[in-house]
Amino acid sequence: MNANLMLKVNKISKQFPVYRRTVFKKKIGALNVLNSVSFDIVKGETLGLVGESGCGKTTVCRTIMQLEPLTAGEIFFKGERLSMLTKKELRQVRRHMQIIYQDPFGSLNPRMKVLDIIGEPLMIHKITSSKGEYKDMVADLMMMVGLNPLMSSRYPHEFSSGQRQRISIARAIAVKPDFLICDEPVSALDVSIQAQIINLLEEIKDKFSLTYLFVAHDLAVVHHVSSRIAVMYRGEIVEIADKDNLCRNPKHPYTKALLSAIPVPDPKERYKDEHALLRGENNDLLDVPSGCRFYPRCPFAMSLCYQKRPVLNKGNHHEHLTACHLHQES
Amino acid sequence: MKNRIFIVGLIIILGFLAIAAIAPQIVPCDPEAQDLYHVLEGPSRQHLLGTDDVGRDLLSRVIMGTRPTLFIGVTATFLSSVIGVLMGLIAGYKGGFIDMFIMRLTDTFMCMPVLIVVLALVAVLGPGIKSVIMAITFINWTSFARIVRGEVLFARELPYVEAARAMGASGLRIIFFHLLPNVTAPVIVTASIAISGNIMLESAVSFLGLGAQPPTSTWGNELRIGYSYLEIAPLFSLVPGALITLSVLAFNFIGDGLRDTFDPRLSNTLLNKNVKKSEVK
Repeated sequence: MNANLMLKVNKISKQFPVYRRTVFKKKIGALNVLNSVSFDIVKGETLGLVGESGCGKTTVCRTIMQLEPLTAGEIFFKGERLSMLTKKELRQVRRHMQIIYQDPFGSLNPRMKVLDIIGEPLMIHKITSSKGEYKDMVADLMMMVGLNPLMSSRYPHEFSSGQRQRISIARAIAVKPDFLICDEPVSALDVSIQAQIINLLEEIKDKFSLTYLFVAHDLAVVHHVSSRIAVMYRGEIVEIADKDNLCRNPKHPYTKALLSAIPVPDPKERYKDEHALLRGENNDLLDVPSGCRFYPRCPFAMSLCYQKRPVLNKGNHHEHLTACHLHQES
Repeated sequence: MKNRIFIVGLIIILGFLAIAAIAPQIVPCDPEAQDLYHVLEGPSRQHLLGTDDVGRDLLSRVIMGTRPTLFIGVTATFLSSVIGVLMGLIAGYKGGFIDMFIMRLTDTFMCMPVLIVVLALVAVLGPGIKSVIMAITFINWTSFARIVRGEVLFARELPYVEAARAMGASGLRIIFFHLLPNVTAPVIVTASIAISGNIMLESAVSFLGLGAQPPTSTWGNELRIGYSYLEIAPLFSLVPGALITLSVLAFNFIGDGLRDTFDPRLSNTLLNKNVKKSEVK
């Protein structure tokens, strides 16, 4: 296996059973949240993951963090198969893999001081035992993310959402991880603060030579931070490519639609290129169409799309891959 | 309004606690000194509340009775809340079979008539303060377990609890640092109401003769003996009865007040206020 490989996600699927409660629980169906999702992340790169709400972005993060068991497939982190690890080994792996959450209000315990929130991973992984060193380390971390160390005895509700997100970042980098999952870290923030947080994330990335999985639903943000971008639709990756390749030359109709939805600041430039508008909505998750999942909304749907499900063709790491019959010559 | 009631309850309870704390110093007579020439007398200057059936000073006995009554009520509640909270935390956090087992256990306990089980247990353990506490704890922990489990089921899905899991925190750490703080408010409310119930229960057990044994006086004991002389010396049973009622009411007031502050959704006063405001407009 490639030594440069940080994370390998191999055909993971996740189903949530749907029950109807009569006298006994009766399984009436399954929600296919992830369907055979595969991607690789090499050391030092940032993979952006975009898609509309409910398409499974967060579930991908949660399964990688082993917070949610997989239905099928496997995840390798630095060559180690995560589902095979014991509890103890998993705790060691978690030292190298951290996550930043979307909601800066919910992800911090309101009853703990900032000192203990940021220091909690240090305690869990027993990085320091002396109280003075612990306080120094937390103070360093706070400075690193642009917070005043004097604020360490305050509670989360005394901070703004941007500052809270800085606290989450400090907590995530406290154990000096190699791999950081950012689950929509800026979606809940104001635009001006988004920029600050993104700059902070990039700064930290350089400082600790981190690898990111950056999840967002805003293509502009993802394009700015990522080196490669994967587009998800209803639990599947429909297109994955280098960011410039993907943005200049999108192949999948869904990616085109996403790109065309980015607002253009200059009114003269607006509506210049073809405007791939989407029909319909992302409807009932239980009612999965046969064939391509996107065909009910696709402007280019052909008869083949109704019958056969397109798969992401296999290729090298940097190849432009898409799961669409329009681009598959097989 | 509710707030005022809370203050009233608090003052009454603090008063009782103060009396219990300095009881031996403030009793006017020796509560165990008998005077068989003056039995079942009405109030006099020497005995403000009169005397009991063997001529002991009733006021002194009632004052001394504050101690075991409050002690049993508070201790039994404390013990049952500790056991209940632990069981609830485990059930809610672990889920699955353990959860089912603990919850069916609480169901079983809740099916049993409280007083009868307590009486049976005290009869087996032998009458006395210790066995009353144990018996009440045995039957009482289930309500705490249920409330805590419900709160934990909600709290364990909170993002920061998941964040702790992602960090690699152990189960114990999550339970005590992240889940326990979430359940303290409902537990305190339940406990303050449970104390009043337990004081009633203790009095009932004492009234039936299985509580603290003579010559120790508890309000329930006094009530039981006084009850036989209701027509001759009414104060003998009225005073301990009134004290039981007063303390139970006071703990209930405190419980209501605490619930209003901790969980405003449940309070009626808030609703009423809103109604009045809209009417004015």
